[in-house]
Amino acid sequence: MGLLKKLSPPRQALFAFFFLLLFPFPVPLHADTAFLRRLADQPVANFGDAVSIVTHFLNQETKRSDFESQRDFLRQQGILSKRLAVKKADQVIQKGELAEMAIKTLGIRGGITLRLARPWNENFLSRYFFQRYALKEAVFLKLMKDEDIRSVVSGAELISTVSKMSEYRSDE
Amino acid sequence: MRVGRANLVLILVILILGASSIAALYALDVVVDQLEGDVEVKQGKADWAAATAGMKLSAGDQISTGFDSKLILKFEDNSVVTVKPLTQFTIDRFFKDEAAIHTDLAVKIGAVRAKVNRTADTASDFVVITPTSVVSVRGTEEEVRVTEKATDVNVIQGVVKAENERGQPASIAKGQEAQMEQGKQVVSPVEKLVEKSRTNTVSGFGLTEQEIQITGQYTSPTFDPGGASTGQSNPTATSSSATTMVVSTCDTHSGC
Repeated sequence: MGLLKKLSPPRQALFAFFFLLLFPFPVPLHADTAFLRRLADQPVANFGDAVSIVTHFLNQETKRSDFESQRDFLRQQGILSKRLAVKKADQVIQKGELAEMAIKTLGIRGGITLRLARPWNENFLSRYFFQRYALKEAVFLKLMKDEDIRSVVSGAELISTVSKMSEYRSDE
Repeated sequence: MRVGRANLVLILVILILGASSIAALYALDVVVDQLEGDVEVKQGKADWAAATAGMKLSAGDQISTGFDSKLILKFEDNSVVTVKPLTQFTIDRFFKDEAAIHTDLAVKIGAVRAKVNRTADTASDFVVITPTSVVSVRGTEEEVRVTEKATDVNVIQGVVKAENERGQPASIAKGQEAQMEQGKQVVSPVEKLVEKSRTNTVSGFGLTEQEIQITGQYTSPTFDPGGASTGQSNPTATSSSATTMVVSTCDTHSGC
């Protein structure tokens, strides 16, 4: 370093230029793709994964990196109901809950049954009304496969759903 | 001694033939033509690294795309594969032998669109392997979407032969889609037509000759919504099963 300081500024710049030419900065790896690879191998996805992937989908991951801030953001956006927002990051996500998040993220109003079920979203009947019809709507829109609302979601399924959400958004 | 010499000659012949057959196989390269967003590759035993335009890939390399990203790969045989966002796949093999150029893509999740270059002098064996199916491109262009439990095949040009995990085949022609779901039968183009006929009663009469041929080729007794399990047309069927009657007729007359 001492030797470098003895050089004149133009020579220092020249040195830096050749140094970077020989040892370029490595292209940084994206946390997104590493997260997706890990998720694809998970047999069961948890609530934290779902919150994270939906935040990524909304391009908000750089501003909100931790679970709490991502969850608060989704709650503010109306994507998470009061009942869903109290779930912990390591709790499993069920199909009905994912359908609810998908439908709200895309702002789908749905058919008459989903519209009628919407007022029940915030209370304890949410699972039996809103989530059930949200899943039916998601199946109709080919975002998800038809299964029980209480069945668990695998990591690959979570990625597939978000991928189809992305396609739906671009089609719209 | 003579026997020994004969053996020696035989071994030499085998070695020469073996060496020539090995020499006839040679690996081909894939080049990253265009990319957008987060695209990472794992080459051999090396760690995951960001992909760059012009990067050379070969058989065994894994590719992963992130959100809002896109990757276009150009194969040495001029085939082009477009990789959609949120896709993970491996180039299983890509080599040329005397018979054809063999390409296997193992798609774990996501969607790829393949435009296969076919020339009269070189045969191409282009296969997309998914957890639920094996899709071989016989035509020129197709899109394969892989979800956890299903594979959707959308043929843009040419013909695609698809097999589900049980080995049940389906031939999908241009403009048609098929779905291969885990543990279920292939939802072939003809079933889509039958489904369409349920909503449109006259659509069956508007089928093109090609569609009727495909319909006849893949009709099975299970498609009859009238409930007849024999493949015969159901006289009590409503007008919405008109297409199925056409289908069944084609099935019973081998001329279709």
